[in-house]
Amino acid sequence: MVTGKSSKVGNSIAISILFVFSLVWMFPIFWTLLQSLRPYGDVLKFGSVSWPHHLNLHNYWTALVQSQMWRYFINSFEVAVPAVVITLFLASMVAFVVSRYSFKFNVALLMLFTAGNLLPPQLVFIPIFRLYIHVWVPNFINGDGVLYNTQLGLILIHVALQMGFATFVLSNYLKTIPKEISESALVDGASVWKHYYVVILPLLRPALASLGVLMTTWIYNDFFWSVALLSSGDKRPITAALSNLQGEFFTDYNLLAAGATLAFIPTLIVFFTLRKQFVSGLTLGSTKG
Amino acid sequence: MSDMITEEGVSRRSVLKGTVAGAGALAVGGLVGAGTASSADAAATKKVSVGSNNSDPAPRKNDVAWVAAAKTAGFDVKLNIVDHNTFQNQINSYLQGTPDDIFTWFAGYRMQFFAKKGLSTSISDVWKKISPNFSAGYKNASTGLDGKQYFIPTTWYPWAIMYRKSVFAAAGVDPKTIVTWADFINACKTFQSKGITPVALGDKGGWEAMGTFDFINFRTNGFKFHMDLTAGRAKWTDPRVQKTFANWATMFPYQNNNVLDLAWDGAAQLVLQKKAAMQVMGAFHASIYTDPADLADLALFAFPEITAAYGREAVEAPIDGYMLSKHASKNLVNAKALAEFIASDKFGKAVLKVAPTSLFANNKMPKPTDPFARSQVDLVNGCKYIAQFFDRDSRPDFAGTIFQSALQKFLGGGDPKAIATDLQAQWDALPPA
Repeated sequence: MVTGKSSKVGNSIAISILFVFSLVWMFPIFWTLLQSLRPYGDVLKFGSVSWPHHLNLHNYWTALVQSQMWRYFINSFEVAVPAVVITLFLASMVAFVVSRYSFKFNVALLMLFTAGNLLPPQLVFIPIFRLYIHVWVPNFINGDGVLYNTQLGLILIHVALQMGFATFVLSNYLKTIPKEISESALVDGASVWKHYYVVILPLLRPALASLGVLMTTWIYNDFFWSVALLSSGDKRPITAALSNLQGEFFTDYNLLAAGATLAFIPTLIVFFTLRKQFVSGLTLGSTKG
Repeated sequence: MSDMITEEGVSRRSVLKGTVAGAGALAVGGLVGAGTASSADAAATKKVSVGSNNSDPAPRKNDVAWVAAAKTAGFDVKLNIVDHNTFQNQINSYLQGTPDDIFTWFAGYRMQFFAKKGLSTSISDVWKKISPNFSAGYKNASTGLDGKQYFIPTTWYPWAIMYRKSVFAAAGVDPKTIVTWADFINACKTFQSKGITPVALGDKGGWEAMGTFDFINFRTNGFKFHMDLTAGRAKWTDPRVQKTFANWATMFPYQNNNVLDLAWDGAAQLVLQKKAAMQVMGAFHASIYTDPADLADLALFAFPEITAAYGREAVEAPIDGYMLSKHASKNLVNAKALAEFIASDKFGKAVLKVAPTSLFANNKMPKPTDPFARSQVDLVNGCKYIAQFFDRDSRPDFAGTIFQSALQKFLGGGDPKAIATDLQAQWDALPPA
C-alpha cells in the first residue's frame, strides 16, 4: 500500500515537472506563432507584450508572395534532395565494402570517414572557400567558371560532410545483418556489384529511410555553408534567405516570425510523415557496433 | 569636404564640357567594343552585373527603378540583391570570390580599405568625365589613399537629434534655443521634470551609440582629432578621449535605463510613442513612422556645441554609392559605362520618382521639396566638416567587434580609463591594414 502510494506521488511529481518543461519548450513556438499572426501596427500601438487586437494571416502572405520566399523553398529542395541521394548512395557503397570485405586498410578507411565528421565547419571554411574559387566548372554551370557560388558546390560540401556519419551508421547496421546472406550470394556466383545492388541495398532500406529523414532535416537546416559558399542572393536556400526579411535598420519581427514559421513547416512535415523512421534512425546501430 | 553638399550653380560651359566628354566616352566604348569578338552584342546591350545590399522594400524599389532606366540607356543589368547585414558581413569573401562587376558600398575609410587591398578597380578616368556633376568634397570622399578614385557617390543622409515638434511644444522647449551643452542639459531637466525620458538611446546592436560618440568626440575635441582617432593616427590613451567619455557621462542621467536592451528602433519607438523626447539618430529614424500625421510631426536639430572653438562645424552624413570590383576587369568597358550612368542625373531622376525624399550627391538633381528632407540639406549645408560615421571612418575589424563591445561596456557603467587603455591595446594588436 505504502509503496503504491509513494509511487503515485512520484508519478504526479514527474508529470508536473514534465508539464513545466514542456511549457518551457512550447513557449517560444507559441510566441512565434502568436507574433506571426499579429500585424506590426498592432505591436507598435500596444507593445509586443500585450493582448493582440488584430490577428490575421497577412504576414504569411507578405513573406510568401511579396518577399517571394517560395523561390527559396525551391532552392532548398534543389540542394537537399540531390545531396541526400548522393550521400546515401556513396555511403552505402563504402559501408558495404568496409563491412563485407576484409583488407588491410579496412578499419583505417572507416576511421578516416568518421574522423572527417569531427572537424567543425568553421575550421575548414577558409581552405574550402579558397579551393572553391579555384576549382574549374564548365560555363553552363556557372558563368564565372568556378565552383564558388554554385548550388553544385553546396551539394558537394554537404555530401562530403555527411558521408562520414552516414558511412558509420550504415556499416554498423550492416554488421547486424548475418554474414551468411553475403556468403550464400558469393557461393551463387554474384559479382561485387550484384552483391551490393541486389543483396545488400534492399536490406539497407530501413536504415536508408531513417538516415534520409535525418539528413534531409540537417541539410535543409544548414545556414553556415549556404552563406559561406554562395554570393548570389537568388541562389540561397530558405534558411539563409530568412534574413531577407530583416531590414538594414528596421526589422519587422512579426513578419520574420511568419517567415520562420513557414521555414520550419517542411521539417515538421518530414518528421510527422516519417516519424517511425526518425525514431529508429536515432537508435540505429546502437544495438551492435 | 567643406563644400560637399553645396548645390553650386552649373555654368553652361561645364555642362557642355560634360556632354562632350560623354560623347567621347561613347565613341571610345564603341571602338573598344568593335575589337572584341561579340562586337554586335556589346553594341546592342551592355551586360553588367550589380551586387546590391538594398534588400529593404523601399531601397529595393530604387534599385528596380534605376535598373529600368539603365535598360533604356542600353544596359542589361543583372541585379544580385543580398540582405543588407549579410552583404556587409560577407563583403570580404564576396570581393575575394566572384563578385559582381559593380557593388553598393560606402564612402570613406571603408572604401579606402578595400581599394588598398586591391579588391576594387580604379575609376579615375570615369571621374575625369563626371567631375562637373559633383562638388570637390564628394570627389575627396571617393578618393583612395593612392589618390585615385574608386567610388561613385549617389545618396546620403545626415545624423542629428530627432524629435517630435508636439512633444517639445507641450513641454515648452524651443529647439532653436538649444545651442550649447548647458542648453541641452537644461532641456533634458525640463523633460525629466515632466516625466518624459529626455534622450532615448538603444545600443543592442553595438553600432547605434557610435553616432553619439562621434558627435561628442568632435564637438569636444574638434573634427581633426576625431578623424585622427578613427584612422589610428591619434591614440585612444590620449587624455582628450577621456574628456569625450566624461562629457557623455553627463548625459547618462537623462537616458532611458535599458540602453543595452533596445536596438535603435526600440529607442526610436520611445520617441514615436512620445515617451522620450529626443534621439541622436540618422534620418532613417523616420522609417518607423508609418502614419503620415506622425511623420509631419518629426523634425531635427543639430547636435549642441560643447567646446566653443569647434561650435557646430561638423556633422555626420554617410554617403552611399557604388564601386567596381576587381572582377570587373573582365568587363571593364561596360562596367565603366554603367558607372558613368550611375553618376549621371538619369540615375537620380529614376530613383527620385520612387523615393521622393532621397538626398542626392549629384548637383544636377533638383532640391528636395519635402520639409524634413529640406531640413537635412540645410543642416549639412551649414557645416564645414562631414564625417562618415564611426564604422565607415575606421578599420572594419576595429569598428566591428572591438569598438562596439567597448561602447557597450561604457554604457553598462564600465571605467572609461580601462576601456580606453584596452581599446589602444586592441588597436595595436591588429594586423597591419
